[in-house]
Formats: sequence, structure tokens, C-alpha cells
Amino acid sequence: MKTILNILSLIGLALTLIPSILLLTDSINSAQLTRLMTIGMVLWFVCRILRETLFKPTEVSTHAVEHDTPHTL
Amino acid sequence: MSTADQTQASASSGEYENEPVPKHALKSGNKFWGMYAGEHAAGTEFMIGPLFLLNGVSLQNIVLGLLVGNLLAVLSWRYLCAPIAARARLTLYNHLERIAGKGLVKIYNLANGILFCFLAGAMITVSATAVGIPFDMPMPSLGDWMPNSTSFVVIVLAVGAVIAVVASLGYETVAKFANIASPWMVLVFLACGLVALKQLGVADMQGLEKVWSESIFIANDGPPESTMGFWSVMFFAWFCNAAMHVGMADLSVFRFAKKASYGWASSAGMYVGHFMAWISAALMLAAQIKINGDTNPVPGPMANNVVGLAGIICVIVAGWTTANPTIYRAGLAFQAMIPGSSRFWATLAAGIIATIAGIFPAFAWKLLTFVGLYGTILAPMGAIIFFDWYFHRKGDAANLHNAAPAKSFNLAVLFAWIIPVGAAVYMIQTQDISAWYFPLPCWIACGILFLIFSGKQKPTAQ
Repeated sequence: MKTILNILSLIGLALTLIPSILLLTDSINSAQLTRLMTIGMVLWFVCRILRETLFKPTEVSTHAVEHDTPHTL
Repeated sequence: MSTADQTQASASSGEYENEPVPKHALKSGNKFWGMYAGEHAAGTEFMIGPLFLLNGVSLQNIVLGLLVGNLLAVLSWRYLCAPIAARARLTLYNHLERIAGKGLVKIYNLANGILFCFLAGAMITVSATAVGIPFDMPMPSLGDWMPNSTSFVVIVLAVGAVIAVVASLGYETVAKFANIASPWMVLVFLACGLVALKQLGVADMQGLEKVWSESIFIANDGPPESTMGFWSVMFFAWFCNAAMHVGMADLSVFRFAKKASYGWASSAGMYVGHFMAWISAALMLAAQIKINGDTNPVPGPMANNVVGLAGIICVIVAGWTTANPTIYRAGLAFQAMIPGSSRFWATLAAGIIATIAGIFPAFAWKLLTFVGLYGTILAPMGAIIFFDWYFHRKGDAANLHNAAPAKSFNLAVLFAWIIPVGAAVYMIQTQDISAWYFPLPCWIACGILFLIFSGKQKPTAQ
């Protein structure tokens, strides 16, 4: 399940970037680009949130929760 | 809670806020690369790139200025901040408390909190421009310093209320969501730049320079009056994060680094967020100008024009995930000023101030100046740490860890800080000199004044 979610989220990321390259090479039009990027966005967020919810996250924040300064720029 | 209890609590939470980070808690290098790449692709990037274009910066100056300025920022992280962090292994606040005293750190914290509120306000404005699209909200234009419509005010209040309440309820969920969104946001920025290039219809670099110059001409209604050139872009890129590198706020991050060389990880943030994302955002405005002649650098419609819904969501998420932790930390700063006050109410108060600031588009339009001022005020405190570390402690971490607590209010630090900063703020206000030129002279002056004022106060062992 974890592997499937990982693969699907990577496909989501690919659908976020690749359509813009295809548009540059005139392989798709802007309506298709918008559609593909929206699908990529939904896929990425749904799969990543499911992954974080169902499985223990592996990333550990290097930030002190209360005392450090956020990067905002 | 006693100091011993606080130390135990911070150790058990894995954050080590009141003690040096132990060896077993150190983290590997890839964590730092990922963190910097993600955290510097934020809501502010949507504003900064377009503001360069509107200030008439040529394409050559923007590329060269960002290449050099970002390199200097990376070197500042690597050779000024990371070496001290990897030896002392303390948070900025804990480190500063041992030199300046708790009382003075509270004042520094308050300055931080107030500046954070206005920065968060600009981000609420950014998010509101995206949320307002489906409601046909009239977008504020560059000339609007005050709110331009009732619907804009209502949407800013709604966005600000959500962000303030969520920040007041806690930090962890938003931080997790921001981590999830980061890689996607970076790719959306890149995609926006590529699509904008396509919309500009340029085939080579010469064509791009021509379109860029035309966009500047249209945006300024003639030749630009701006004086922003290579040096301005370079200093801005170097010091827009001055509080983090020369200002030593990222001691809190690099205290977990196994080696000082992890400071190179900041290059991921600089060249992804402050190079690619800024140029992409500027190209988005150039494309908007070419397509419909609209010179308004409003992030929501700009992103919508290039990639549609994904762009709108990216602006909302980028603004939200930037504003949220900023308000949270501002709340903590305010809470620290009033002992016994509730974190919820302090954070909510910070959120209300940020939301009120967000109603005024001027804070977003003046982001370049504000960011320069932010570095000018906060970065010099890093010079205190730097000069104390190398001149008083001789780079000896044990000397710092075993030192007797500083008195509550170290006047040498206070005067070393406020004299150069006061002079700089005066010159920014009266002489009309750009704020991004001041963090460096203020930092050097602050360090030298600290050495002079504290000459006879040698740190004493506990």
C-alpha cells in the first residue's frame, strides 16, 4: 500500500511538471495543461496525505518547534 | 517550571531548546537539503520576482545579481552561521540569552514578532488575491495603498481569520501540511516559468531580453525611473534572509548538523526559491503584460493565467503555509513578553494584527523595502554572537556552555545593537537609501561596538 501511494504521488508530481514541458514543445494545448496539472495536484495531495496518515512519517523536523525563526522569504 | 525541568522537557521532546544538542540527535545532510529547498519556495516569491520587473531591473542584472547575491548568502550560511552552530549546538535564543540576558532577548523577540506580523499580513494579501478570483473580487493595483473594495476587505478578513485561528490552535498540523506541499510548490513554480516563457513566444535569449524590456516599458509607462541595478539585486538577494544567516537565526537549524559543511544545503533554497522561483514569478508578470497589458503584480490572477487551478491553489497554499508559522512564532514572541499569558490568545492577537495589516496592500507592494528593513533590524544581533564566539570565547563551546548566566539586560549588547540600527532606520526614512544596503554595515558596526562596549566584561565560568 505504501509503495502504491509513493508511486501514485510521484506520478502526481510528474503530472505537475511534464505538461509544461509538453506545452513548450507544442505537444499539448493550455486547456490540456490545466487539466493535467489539476489531476497531478489532486493525486499528489491525496496520496501524500493518505501516506502520512496511514504510515508513520519518516521525515523528522530539524526545527525547534517553539524557538526558531521560520523561513518566510 | 524550573530550569532543570525545562531542560528535561526539551530533551524529551527531541528539540533540545535549553541545552546543546547531543551527538545521538544529530541529523544527516539530506534532511537539510530537503528542508532548505522546500522552505524557500514560499508565498513571498510570488511577489518579489514581479517587483524586480516593475522596478525596471534588466534581465541581465536580475540573473547576474541573483547568481552572485545568492552565492554570498550561501557562503554566509556556510562560513558564518553553520560553524558556530555545529560547535555550540544551541538555539539562537538560548545562545543569545547566555550573552545578552533574558530581558534583552525578550526585546529582540518582540521586534521579531512585530515584523513577523507585517510579513504575515503581506502573505494574507497574497492568499486573498487567489481566493478572490471565483468571487470576481476587484484586485488591488500597485497604486492602492489602502483597501480598494469591500469584497477585498471581506476576503482578507476571512482568510486572516482562518489562518489566525488555525495558528492559535497549534503548529504541528500546518507544519506537516507545509512539508507535504513543498515539493509540489517548487514544481508549480518551475511549470509557471516554463508556461510563461511559452506565452511570451520567445525563441532565444535576445527575444526574451526584448520582451522583458518591453514589459518594463509598459509597466512604467515609459522608461523606468527605478535605480535598481545589479548591486541592488545582489545586495537584496544576499540580505533578504540576513536574519537567518548573518543574523544567526539558523543556529537553531544547524545545531542538528553533524558537520559545518551542511551549510552548503542552503544553496538548495537559494537557487530553487530565490533564483528559479523569483525569475519564474517575474516571467509570469511579463506574460500577463504581453497577453492583456495588465501590469498589476497580483499573484492569484498571474498564476491563474499561466497554469489555471493548480496555480491558484499554489498561491493560496504558499501564502497560508508562510503566514501560519509566522503568526505562530509572533504569538510566542508576544507571549514571552507577558508572563503567564495564554499562547492561544497571544497567537490570536498576532493573527488579528497580521490580518489588519493584510487589508492594506501597501505591505505587499513594499515587500522589497520591508524585507531589507527586517534584515537591517534583526541581523546585527548575529554579529554579537559571531564576535563573542571568536573574540571572547575563542571558539570554545565549553566556555559558552559553562558560562555563568548573563545578567538580565546586557547594556553593551543593547547599545551595540540600537546605535547602528537606529542610524540605519533614520537614513532609510530620511535619505531614501534602499534598506537592503544596510544589513552589512549595521552587522559590522554592531560587532565592533559590542567589542568596544564589552571590552572589560570577560565571560565568567559558572
